[in-house]
Amino acid sequence: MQKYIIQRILLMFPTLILVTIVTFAGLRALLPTSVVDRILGEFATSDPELRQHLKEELGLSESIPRQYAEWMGVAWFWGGPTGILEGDLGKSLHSERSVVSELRRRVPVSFELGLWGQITAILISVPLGVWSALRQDQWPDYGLRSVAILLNAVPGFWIAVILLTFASIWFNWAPPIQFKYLFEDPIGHLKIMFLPAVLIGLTPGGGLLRLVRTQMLEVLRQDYIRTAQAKGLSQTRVLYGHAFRNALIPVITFIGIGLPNIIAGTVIFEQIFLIPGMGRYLIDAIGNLDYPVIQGLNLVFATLLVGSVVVIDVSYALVDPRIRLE
Amino acid sequence: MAVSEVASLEEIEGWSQPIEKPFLLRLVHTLSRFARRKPLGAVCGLVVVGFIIIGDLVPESINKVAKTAGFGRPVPYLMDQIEKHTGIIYPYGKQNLRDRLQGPSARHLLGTDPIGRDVFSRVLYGARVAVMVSFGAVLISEVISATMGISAGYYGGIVDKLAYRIVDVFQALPGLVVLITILGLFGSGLWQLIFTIGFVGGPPASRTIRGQTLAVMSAPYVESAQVVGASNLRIMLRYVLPNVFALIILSATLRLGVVVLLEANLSFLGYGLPPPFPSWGQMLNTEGADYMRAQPGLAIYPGLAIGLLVFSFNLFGDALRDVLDPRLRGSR
Repeated sequence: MQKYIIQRILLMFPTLILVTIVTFAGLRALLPTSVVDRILGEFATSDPELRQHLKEELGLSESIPRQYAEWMGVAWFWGGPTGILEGDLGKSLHSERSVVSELRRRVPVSFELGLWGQITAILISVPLGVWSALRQDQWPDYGLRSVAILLNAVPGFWIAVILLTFASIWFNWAPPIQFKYLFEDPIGHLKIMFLPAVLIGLTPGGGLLRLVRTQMLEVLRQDYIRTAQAKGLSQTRVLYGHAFRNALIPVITFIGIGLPNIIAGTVIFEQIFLIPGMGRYLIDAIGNLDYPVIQGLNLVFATLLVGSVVVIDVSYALVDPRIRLE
Repeated sequence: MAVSEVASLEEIEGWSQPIEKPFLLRLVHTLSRFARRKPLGAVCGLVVVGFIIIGDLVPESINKVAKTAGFGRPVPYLMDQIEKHTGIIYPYGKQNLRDRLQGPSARHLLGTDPIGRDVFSRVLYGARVAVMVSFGAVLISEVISATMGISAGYYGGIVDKLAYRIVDVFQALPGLVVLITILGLFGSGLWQLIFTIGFVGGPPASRTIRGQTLAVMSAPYVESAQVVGASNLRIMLRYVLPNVFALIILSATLRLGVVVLLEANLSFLGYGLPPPFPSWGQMLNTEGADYMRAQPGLAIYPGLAIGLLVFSFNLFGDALRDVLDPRLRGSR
């Protein structure tokens, strides 16, 4: 088991290194406009000396492999600046603030939002999915399945737009503009986070409900359920002791697969509800062509996804002894 | 006596009948059988066809090709014809500042937006972006995933390993983040949307095709083709591809809805088509929040259109999967 976990963790690194290479090459080599030209505007062509000066100041005048080595922190070993290996993601070209310190402020916000979304999805759809399976082909089942299919068909932001529009027409209510951090003003913070968190959970929740339902139906048809019923266990014991736990195994995978959706949800809802998380940071950085920030954020997102896949695989092996060590 | 006997024999053994019915008849038969088995799926299929017609997919694609070849626009657009003959549709960019933010009326069926453009026309024209992007992107990503999946499964070894490193990288980055990054940096437009969404979605979808290819590879006909001396390319195209084709069609129909939602998300965030051209996501952008308060229809209709299209794609895909691949029934 330990060997399996170590193997999985070691296999993360080649992927992540490839991700850094792809994002770096994409930004530095393929991009038609350079950030220097963007900052200087028309002066870029009229004043090549200024252009060269700014390029050197931003650290963009070296060759691309050299810049990559510096960004990765490999160059540090022969006297270059610190980089990723030393835990430094560089400085924003625009605001000159260190990316790591900015992330330290923003990652918890996005993480909290995503976690809340994930929790709402589970809290809503697991009980409803089980209920739907127990009432198979009766009206609660039809109703819930229709709602789930509809939730999968409409974009999450549309529900938000509709809610906000009608909340402002009927109750004259609008979401607060000033963001409050959890430790400054917990109640104000929760007021801001509540609505986007629920809305982020809705879209993945629809898919999860259908999955829980089919899994539950599948399990209820198994022999061991019949055995449990035959030996005289009460219906609740059969359902929650035997059926429910087995039905939840594939749900773990779904939560992992749903992570990109949750991330997409945080990006969109941070924009709608003006929450200063990673998504807004990314969108601002793209507008400014802020290379280090874009690279850093992509790396963080990739680490998150790859790491979650490993966690899912390992927890899968822990929960289900049949698939261990292959 | 003897002659009539021969005739009846022919009838019994079916000699007099053609072995294969004409293609059109077979198509009609297949479709009607599908409609009888899956009525809801068939209705959704019709809705999709309706969107394709409204979205002018065929004229637009032919004209795009013809324009690059220098022929102008040989095929007329349905929307232009409706505009000319009925008068309930206006050009999507036509502003009429005197009629701003109107409610529904006989002249403007769904009212007008803040600069006096007809919402009904814009919702209908929005179908063009949605349909073009979804079909275009899915076509590209299926071509990529089929190529990767089949060659990885067929050659195995180093090709397989290489393909899977690429797939890992694509799966390591969340789709929307990559799309925002690429479209935000390189600029957006119809072609950019189609190519980036198609390109980003391609590699991850190749996993299932690779699996199916491996299953096909163990079939005796592939081995006999190799023994006879068919080239690798020929085997892949003539023997493997037709056997994984149902899977490709399936993953394509199920991806269409996802792409529509992706496009809506992107244009909602401002990375879709540039403004004068209407797209549903962009019509819902929060910049118009104040106007939606005055005219709630602005917030409702584009979203309904997205929902209807995605819903139809999804249910049609589900029905198609149930018919084509009974093993997967009810797995979603």
